[in-house]
Amino acid sequence: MFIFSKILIVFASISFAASNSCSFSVKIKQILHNEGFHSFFRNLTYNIEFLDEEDEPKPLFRSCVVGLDQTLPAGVFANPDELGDLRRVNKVNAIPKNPVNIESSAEQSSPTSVYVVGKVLGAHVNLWMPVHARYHKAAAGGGQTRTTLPPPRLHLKCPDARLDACDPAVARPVTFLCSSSLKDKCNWKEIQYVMITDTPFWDVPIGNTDHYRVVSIGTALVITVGSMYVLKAILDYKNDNDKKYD
Amino acid sequence: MNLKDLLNLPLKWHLVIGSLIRLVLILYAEYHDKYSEVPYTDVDYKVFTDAARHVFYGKSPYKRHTYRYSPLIAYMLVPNLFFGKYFGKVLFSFFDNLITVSIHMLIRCQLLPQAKNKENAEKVALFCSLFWLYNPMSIAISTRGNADSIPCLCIILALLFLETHITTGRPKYIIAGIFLGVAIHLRIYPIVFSLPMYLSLGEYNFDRNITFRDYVQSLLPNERQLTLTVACITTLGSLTHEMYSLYGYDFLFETYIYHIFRKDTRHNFSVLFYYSYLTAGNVNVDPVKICIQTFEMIILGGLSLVFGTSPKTLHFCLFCQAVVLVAYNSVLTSQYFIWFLSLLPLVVHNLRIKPPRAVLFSIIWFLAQGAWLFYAYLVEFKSREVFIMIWLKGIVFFCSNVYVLGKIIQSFSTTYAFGYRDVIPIPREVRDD
Repeated sequence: MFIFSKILIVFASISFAASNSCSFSVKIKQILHNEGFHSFFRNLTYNIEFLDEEDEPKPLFRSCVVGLDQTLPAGVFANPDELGDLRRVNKVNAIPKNPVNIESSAEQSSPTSVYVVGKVLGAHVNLWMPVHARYHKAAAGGGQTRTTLPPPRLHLKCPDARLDACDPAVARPVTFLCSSSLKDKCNWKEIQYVMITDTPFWDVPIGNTDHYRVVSIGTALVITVGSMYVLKAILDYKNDNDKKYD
Repeated sequence: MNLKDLLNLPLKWHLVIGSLIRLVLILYAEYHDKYSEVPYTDVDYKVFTDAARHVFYGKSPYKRHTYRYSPLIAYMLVPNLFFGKYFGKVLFSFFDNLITVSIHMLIRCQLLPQAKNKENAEKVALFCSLFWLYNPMSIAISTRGNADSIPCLCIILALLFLETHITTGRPKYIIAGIFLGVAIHLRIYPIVFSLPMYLSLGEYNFDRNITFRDYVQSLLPNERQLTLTVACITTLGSLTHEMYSLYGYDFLFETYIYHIFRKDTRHNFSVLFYYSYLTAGNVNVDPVKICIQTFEMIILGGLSLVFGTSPKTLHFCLFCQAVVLVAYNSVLTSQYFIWFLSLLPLVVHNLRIKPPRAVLFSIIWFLAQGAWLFYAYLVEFKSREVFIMIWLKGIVFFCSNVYVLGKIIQSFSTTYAFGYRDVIPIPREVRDD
């Protein structure tokens, strides 16, 4: 009888924990910092908080791992080698999902995805990755072109069976990378969240095709005049030298 | 100790001081990169290290995206993985010292045999070598982790053997050919230098009284020219064949083909930048590109014919050609400046320019760069649409390059030697020079 009641208590507490673990209230702040083309200044940061019904931090997912799947539009990229360097010094755990050509323009590129992984500390996790903007094709009138960054997909993986009993409707099972290798696969739960910041966007300057005529004529003219000047200097030197030895 | 005493220290002391300056900067780079948002270390230095990691694990260095160098550079930097990330920078700084010693040796060998005043000849050689050793740009380039000091050393060594009698007979031309072959293998641009180097070994008699047969005969390759050519082609061919057998088409494309057809639409110093950007993706015949390439070829050919036909002016020919290659390049970043900066110490003693004018030319060149950099900063870090201003500043920079080059050509004199009249015996017919 004692054993039976003990099993009942354990079962009830697991069920309670499981049902509690499956009520997700997650808020994310996704911010693109600073300005310019490059990651010396531009970082995409994520501030993720796990909250209870009263919007208070809920440390129920402590030691679980968050995996963000961030799609980057064609105008933006994360440099795989830069991410590799940052992984080696444990600054960032971000893994590109696709090969990335860091030199091509936005028009020659396709959207790419990056996994950003981090451990939940208490009830929150802060993640970031360096991102760069691509050059865009010049257009009439020039100005700037805007690239918006979509919200990421949020995945959760816990070291125990906390999430196993969750309803697939609230925690859809997903399989992708375990930590820093794309080869090993782990089971994750994709969970819903509320984005509390505006969609980040990136304004990049573009060339003005209306300048084509003045630029092509001006460039050709300057090259011609400059070359004539150098050729004259060479010829003058030769003539002077010939005179001296005549 | 005043500045004059300091300058007159023996070369070995200068090498120690030069090395210390570089070591301090290498250590500073570590601190700077850690705390500053704009890193001191060249972006390519990481590329070299990543490529070295690939070759160490038996993979191709070209698995590292944007690695566009010979695999030899990746091999040289494998110790970066074991002795720390400083190794490559220390190695490049060591090559800086070798360049200094080579410049010193070259000018010394040129001047000493004919100098009336040996002491002054030694001074000229020393000052020229210090022009490289203490040049802030050469210091910055190697300590930032740029590998271009290696091909630069090969070019200077090829010149050392061609312009002096450090060795004589056939070995002289074989060694020069080997160094030229290695330089071309490492960085394709020295291929342009092969024509003046070849021409400098000929004997020309363009007197109007000679027969057509004699004229044609003087254009036929002699033994020295054939030796240089065979040594260069054999070295280049062997290295290229070996690397091709190891890494296939990736090696050929990334090391050579990419550089020949490179058309980078991102902002750079080139006069062609904005034009290339506006016409990106346009596959029609490009009249502006044809214009610049035609003039570039004519100028390079003219320089070869005027300065490349004599060993006495060969170094000046190479310097001018390097300036032209840089100024007319369709993609131009500051790392390219080392192409001519490494040859400038070989010609600086031959430039009859008063110091204030030399300073003025330097100011013109640096100001033009500075103006460009300001607008590049606005585009890159502030996302401001100022491409037309970048184009205008690119034009100004091109003009400053050709203007300074023109002035340098005007002031070139093989008999000048920093104004020491007792260093180079001046032939009677050129005394009014």
